[in-house]
Amino acid sequence: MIEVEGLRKRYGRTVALDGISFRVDEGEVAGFVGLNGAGKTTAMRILCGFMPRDAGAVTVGGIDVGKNSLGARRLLGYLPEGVPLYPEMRVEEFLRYRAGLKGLGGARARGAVARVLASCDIADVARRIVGQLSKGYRQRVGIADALLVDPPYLVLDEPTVGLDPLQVRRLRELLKEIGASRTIIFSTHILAEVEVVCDTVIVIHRGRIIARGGIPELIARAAAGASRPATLEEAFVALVRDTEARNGA
Amino acid sequence: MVRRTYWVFRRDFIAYFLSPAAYVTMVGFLFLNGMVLNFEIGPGRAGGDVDIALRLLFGNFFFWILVLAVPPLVTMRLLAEERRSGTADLLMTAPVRTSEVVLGKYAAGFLFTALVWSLLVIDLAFLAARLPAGAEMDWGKVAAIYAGILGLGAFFTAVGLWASAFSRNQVVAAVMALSVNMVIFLVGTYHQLFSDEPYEQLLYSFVSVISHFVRDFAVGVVDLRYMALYALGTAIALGMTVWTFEARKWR
Repeated sequence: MIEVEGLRKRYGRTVALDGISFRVDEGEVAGFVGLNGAGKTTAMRILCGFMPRDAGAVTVGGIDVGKNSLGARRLLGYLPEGVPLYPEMRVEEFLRYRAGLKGLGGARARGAVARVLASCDIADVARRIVGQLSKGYRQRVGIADALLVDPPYLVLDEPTVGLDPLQVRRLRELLKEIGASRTIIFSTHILAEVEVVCDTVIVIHRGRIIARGGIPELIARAAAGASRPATLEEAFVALVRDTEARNGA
Repeated sequence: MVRRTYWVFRRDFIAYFLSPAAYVTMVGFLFLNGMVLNFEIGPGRAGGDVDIALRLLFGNFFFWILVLAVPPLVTMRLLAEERRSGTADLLMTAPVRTSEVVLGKYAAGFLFTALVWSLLVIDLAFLAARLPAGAEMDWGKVAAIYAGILGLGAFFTAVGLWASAFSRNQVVAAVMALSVNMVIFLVGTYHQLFSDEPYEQLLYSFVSVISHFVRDFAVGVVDLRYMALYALGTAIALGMTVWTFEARKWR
């Protein structure tokens, strides 16, 4: 289980996260949605132990990220926004390096690399240089890296940004496949992705959680307001507008 | 710990040979030393005296430019590039300690610095071949000078890594490291400008890197006090690198 309680983060005077709390249960695939600048990436970076929090608590599989960041990172696979990779390395060489960093050696590392090359459908580019790959392939190399040690928890930050429709479809299928046996938080502002891939949705706006629940529940909740949404996208827009209206009032 | 440090070291060391910057550094190094060999020593200024030839090779202006500038050029991308390209996210969300990352990168930078300096053996071989009959190259003195270069190189590499932790911009990191190296160099060299007090003079003289070379390494003496001084400087700079990178990795 991933649990976030009263998480706060400021950048100077700007409040990035204003005491957010949410929980993602075992085996759940949760969509973390919000507009650009809502605080999604900040929350994910804190969750993965990359960035310190100002206040609050984050636990991954029962391990407090603030107190035992290394222990929590051993349970997590993370795909950062924009999929930063080393462009000069070959795909297989990159995955071998990442396996070594994650504590796998020798035959176990070779086995893990072969497994993710196959499961992410990138075996055909294993000898290619990362910098020469298409965005879709780079995205899959990033997911392969996140899956290397077969972690029980995955944190994926905007995995479908910049992909063409065919690549998005392939990635969706891959996410559905890997989501069958893992707990995943998947940040995006593309709501069609969430409808297809996720079990639950967490909506963040201006550093606050404004809604959390299953997709039908969220649509129904927003429908009770002024608008009559029929899709998750409409529900999201209604939620954001209602929050803005309340804040403005 | 050793395994993760090894993987960081391995990636960064191999990466040097996959970018033109490494080759430009090595060619520039050989070019400058070749010039020194031809114009400073070549026309016979050493008069067949090996001691004078070694002092000319290891005591000239270009030698000190290289001692001060090679480490910043080697280390400037090590951490700055990780932050600029966003791979710091990837690196620091793996189960790896900041100290392991810093040590791995330091080892890669230091080994590459040592490799660049090992190219000077080519110049030394030329020098040995051009000595007049009866004169022999004093390889013991060369080894002492190399020990000094590596000791000081280890310290300046650590300073360079620290500067690289400060900025996303490699050029800023290099200029910063070069400036720090220059201050360390100048404080010892021009110590008489700062104070007339004998005990302060003694202190400045102890930290004067140029006098370490002129007084000791160049005459074949490896004074372990100087090596300990470089080791202490290296440890402090690496500690500061861990702290700086930890504090700035996500900024």
